[in-house]
Amino acid sequence: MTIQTAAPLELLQAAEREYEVDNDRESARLLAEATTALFDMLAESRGISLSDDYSAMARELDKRAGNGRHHYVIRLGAGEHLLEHAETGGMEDYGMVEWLHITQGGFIRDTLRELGVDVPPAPAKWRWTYP
Amino acid sequence: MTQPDGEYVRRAEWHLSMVGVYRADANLLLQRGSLHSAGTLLYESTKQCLNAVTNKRGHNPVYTRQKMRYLGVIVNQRLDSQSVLEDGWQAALKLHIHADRGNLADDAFESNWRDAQMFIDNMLEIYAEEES
Repeated sequence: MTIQTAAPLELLQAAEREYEVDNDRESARLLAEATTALFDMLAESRGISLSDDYSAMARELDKRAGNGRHHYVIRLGAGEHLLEHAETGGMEDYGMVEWLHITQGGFIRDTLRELGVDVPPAPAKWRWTYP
Repeated sequence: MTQPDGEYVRRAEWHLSMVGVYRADANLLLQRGSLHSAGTLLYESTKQCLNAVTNKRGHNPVYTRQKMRYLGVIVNQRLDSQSVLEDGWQAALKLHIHADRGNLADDAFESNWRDAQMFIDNMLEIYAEEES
């Protein structure tokens, strides 16, 4: 499988543009896509076989991190919640939309930087400020 | 940082005590196999952590969305704990959703439970540091 290494960043930036104009269901869809694209990049960089089983991939990434955490499993789950929000708007019920955008955007940025991608700073709307 | 007045301090101490109460009850319910109720109470314990730390700082967020924003600010100040706090809160939210929908498989419940517990441990450390 050939990986489009620029795809996660492009998808993230497209999500940022949609979120800027309050189109949070489309931005959620784009962030969910960016998440799986990022997992493809992570798998390739760590020598893990690519497949459609992202859960297995996330578990393997956590296992290799070796700290007993479930970081990648949880971030993959956040991507699933984002997709659900895109399809049903259901995450608004839990007040999670802003949380999912900022934390998942941060995860994608940080991971891309770890992988050597030049990532510009996050727009203001993607940073926490006091309410 | 300005010192919070007595009302905030009293609220912080109350919320801190409820962190322990909800967590202990959650652990008991887990032992009894009442996973939905256990998850709900552990989620409540994580929220009480946020209430305790924010009141200790002189803020009293009411709505969950406000609490999440305060958590975001705490995360920005604690970059060494960023991943544990963000993942732990996400895990607690999943336990909360599971109580509504019953959507987590056993292994997913277990991993979210552990990460939510780590969140509570970290927040208790942050609270203790605020006191010193």
